[in-house]
Amino acid sequence: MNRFIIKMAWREIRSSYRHFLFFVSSIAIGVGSVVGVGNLSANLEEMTHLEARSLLAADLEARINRPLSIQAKAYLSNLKQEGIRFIRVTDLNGMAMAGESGRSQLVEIKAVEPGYPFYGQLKIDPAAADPFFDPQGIWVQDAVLARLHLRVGDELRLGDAEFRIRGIVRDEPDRVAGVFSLGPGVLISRKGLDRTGLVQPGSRVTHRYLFKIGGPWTPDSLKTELSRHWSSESVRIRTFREAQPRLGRFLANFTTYLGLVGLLTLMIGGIGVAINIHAFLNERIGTIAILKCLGCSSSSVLGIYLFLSLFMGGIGSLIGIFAGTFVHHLLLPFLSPFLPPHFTFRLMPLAAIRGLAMGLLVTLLFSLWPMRMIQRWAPSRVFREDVGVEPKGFPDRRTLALAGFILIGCIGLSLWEAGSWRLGGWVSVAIGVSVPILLASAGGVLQLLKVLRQRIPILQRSLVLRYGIANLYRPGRLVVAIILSIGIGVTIVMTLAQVERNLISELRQNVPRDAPSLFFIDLQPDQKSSFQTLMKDWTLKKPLQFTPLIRSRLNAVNGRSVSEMRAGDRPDGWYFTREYVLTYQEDLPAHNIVQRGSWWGAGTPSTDPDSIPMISVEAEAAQHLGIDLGSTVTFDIQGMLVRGRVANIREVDWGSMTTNFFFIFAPGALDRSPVTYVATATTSTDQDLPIQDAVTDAFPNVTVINLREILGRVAGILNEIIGAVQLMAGFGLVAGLVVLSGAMAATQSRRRHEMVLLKTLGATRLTLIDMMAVEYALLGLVAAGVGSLLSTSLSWFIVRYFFEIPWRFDPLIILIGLVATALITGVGGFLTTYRILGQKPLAVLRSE
Amino acid sequence: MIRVSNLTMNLPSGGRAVKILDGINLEVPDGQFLAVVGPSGSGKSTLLGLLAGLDHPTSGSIRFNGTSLTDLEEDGLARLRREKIGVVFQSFHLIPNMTALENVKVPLELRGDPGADREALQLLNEVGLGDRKDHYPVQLSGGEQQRVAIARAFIGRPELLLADEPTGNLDSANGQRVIDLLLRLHQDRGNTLILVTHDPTLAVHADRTVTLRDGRVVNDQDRPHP
Repeated sequence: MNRFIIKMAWREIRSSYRHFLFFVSSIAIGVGSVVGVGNLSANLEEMTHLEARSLLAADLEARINRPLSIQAKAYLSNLKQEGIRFIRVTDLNGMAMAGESGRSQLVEIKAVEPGYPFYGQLKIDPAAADPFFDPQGIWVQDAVLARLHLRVGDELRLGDAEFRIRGIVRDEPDRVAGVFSLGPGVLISRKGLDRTGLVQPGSRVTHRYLFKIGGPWTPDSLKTELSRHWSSESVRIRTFREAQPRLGRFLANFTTYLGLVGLLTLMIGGIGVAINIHAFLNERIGTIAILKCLGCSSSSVLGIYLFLSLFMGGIGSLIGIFAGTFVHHLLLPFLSPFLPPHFTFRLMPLAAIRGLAMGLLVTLLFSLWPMRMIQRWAPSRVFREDVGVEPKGFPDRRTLALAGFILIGCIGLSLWEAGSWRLGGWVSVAIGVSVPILLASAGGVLQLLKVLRQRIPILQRSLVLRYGIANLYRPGRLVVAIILSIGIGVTIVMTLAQVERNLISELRQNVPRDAPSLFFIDLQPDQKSSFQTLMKDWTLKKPLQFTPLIRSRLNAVNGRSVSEMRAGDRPDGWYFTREYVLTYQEDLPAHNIVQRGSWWGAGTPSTDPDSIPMISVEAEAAQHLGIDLGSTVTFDIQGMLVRGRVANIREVDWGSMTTNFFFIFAPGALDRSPVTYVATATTSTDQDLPIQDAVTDAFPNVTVINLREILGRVAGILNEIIGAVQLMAGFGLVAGLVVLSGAMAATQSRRRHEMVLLKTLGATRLTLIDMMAVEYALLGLVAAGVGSLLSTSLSWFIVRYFFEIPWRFDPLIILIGLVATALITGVGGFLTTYRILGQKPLAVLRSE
Repeated sequence: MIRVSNLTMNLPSGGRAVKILDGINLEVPDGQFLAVVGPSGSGKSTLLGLLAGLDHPTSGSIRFNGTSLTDLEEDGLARLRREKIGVVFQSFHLIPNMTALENVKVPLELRGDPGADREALQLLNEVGLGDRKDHYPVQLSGGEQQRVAIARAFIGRPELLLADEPTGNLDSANGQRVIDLLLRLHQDRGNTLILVTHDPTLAVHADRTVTLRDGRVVNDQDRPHP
């Protein structure tokens, strides 16, 4: 680069670095957001990749919902001889009951064997050498003690067995975050589990075989061998590399969204850069004209100011990188429910480099727009005082090309941050639609104010109102840029608030009135009548309902076995390999609609002519499994194959919050299958706990699920998730305010001149404050009004098409948004300009 | 009556205080047309600014009809200007986002006067700009802008009118027009007029001429009555 350019740029930096305070702040906030999220996402990515073995606690995991067959077990013994170690972990839900108080709590039980875990650490407090030989001992998470009012050393009942609480479980490598579980966890030995009597035919139990390879084996080769030998076991096998679990995917998606909000903050900062450079260049018209008079080319002048801009952008980015290292402190509390306790955070150099690159790119893109004027300013300006008036009319080809370049740059940044064409494309479309709407609405509202100012007598009469309004649309006030930057921030915050309100109200209020509140799972057939007798002690809102459940796996579709279909390799393989809970029913359940075919009963037989029982299939499962009317589906029920013929395809309302099924058999076909019952009760809130305690006491094997409690927890999780996004959106709003302050500072000299003149004419400070208040509050109101409109449309779109729930308008959010933005803008604007109030008119006029 | 006693004003320049006014004593009776002359840097404009209450002096006092300007706080000074003082500047200082009519109205509006519109239009007509009332400053010539500024200064019927080189930025024809207007309005309204100028042809119209040099009064001369 030309030395002259660097020298000149350095002179400018030396003499006017104060001018760039808001420029540097704008970029710093944006880069800080991007780097903060980048650090977090890099850590999470590292956790899910590097610690994948820990997250699985093994090299390979085989998951099955029933005990292995004798042949499969024999193969396990062979593996042992080849140097492969394995242990069995059993997971199930059950009710824990405090011996003395009679309080009960749904818990996730994990029974482990010595050797667990192969990878990662099990942390229990107080530490025990090997807890897994103690059939009387139980280790519980803190929450169990808190909810049942127990202490270490107390007794706890699980199923038929009493346990002594030996300690607290602080960390288990393979327990994903608590939010995805139904209750807090407890840990017992395998012998302990046997004592509980909770594992009965038909109970919902998951057995996980954890393998640690040795010898010539690799996780993949073991997976291939196991799949071959256990093809008929309906087992799901995954290596640690495939085990990026739901949590990992969820966190990756989540941090991508957070990163995109961070990028928007950076782009708002870009608007600040454009405003700052615009104002600075206007001050430098004289200098530029002189340089041109002296023979400096336009491209050299451009080089000087571009260098200066990138230098400042670099400083802003470095400050942002430093500040970004603190952002995770703010974000982690929101994410902690999703993170394993052993999650540790460290700074990632790559996130910092990426932040610097993004900061410089945004600086470059947004500086170029105001710098296009450099080309236009003729050297003759040195003789004229009037400042650069932008040419009116349709922009020329060069301007359009520059706009196109900036647009492509912004799309490129979105794609980079989103990490996918699809999401990046959506973000680009959202920005591409929102920004013109914001600009057009802002222009429209300003025009309307202009008309109102001339039509409404009070606005004509009041100097304060007239002056405040006039300030909004006068040239050189950068009002549109301010509205755009605050408007984007407001739009994000208010869209999130509206989406959150809709989701929460859908969760809380939209549960169907007839939805049951308590579910009793794993009720054995011989317990049914005594359960009914027990429940007679309470007056329920609706009669108790029993639904038979039969656990099964899909064996074949239209005679073709699932293992032949290699369904595990398909993206929707879950439909083929999952466990299906079947039921049989005389009548079509409520909240179900027959799409095609007909329900059995009146005129329609419950078996086909070949005596194959009729079944009903849920529409989406039918589509994935390639099932149509007349297809045959074979299920494996604890080793017994049962075939059914599809009589109808149903649409199910999964939001009905009651027992719903993919497959329903006509009555009679499953009479010989091992059945358990789920009972559902519609209770009042005060009945929930007494019923739960009484049922747990009388039927220790029965699991009680409280729908109200679960909905409350889901709402809590939703709050955490949206809280984190709101926090990032808050940075966007702060960036908007910095842009506002920057714009105010950029027009400070003109504003000071006017204020001083008004003072000279006799305006008191109070009058001037009133004028400022009107101007800034209106500015906030216009930005918030435009942002509200846009956020309402966006939230409608998201709620209606992404969450597929009905959208409700909440005027209170809009009102709060309008008032808060007007206040924040008013205070922010005032803080930037209040110093003008104290200036002596003579000193200002003299200096001009 | 304006009474200026031992007025001094120091201003910082290049890291040290420079004495702009150095012990000015002056009495201006009501209705007088006083011209303040002197070379550049003699302190004329600073004196005018202090008389307008646009800043506080380093020492000394200014009393205007019994009110001590030096004892008033900023808002008190603003109220005094609003009620009693009009100022005309060399570089017009119109508010750029207001039309000519709106600029003229401002002092009355600040007082909450409901008849501002009517009076402002009347005064604009008087200065010959009734047909330009809806034009913005940028759409007016220098002479026209100064006439608007004069109308603005007179609209509040001030007891004291201060004019700081009102023709300094104008060509001679426009300058003459402005000075004629200023004098006519002064005679019609009978207020005190203090005019800062270094144009000797302007000073000859004044009842009295005070000459400043290096911040001091070096000559104070009444115009001989014909």
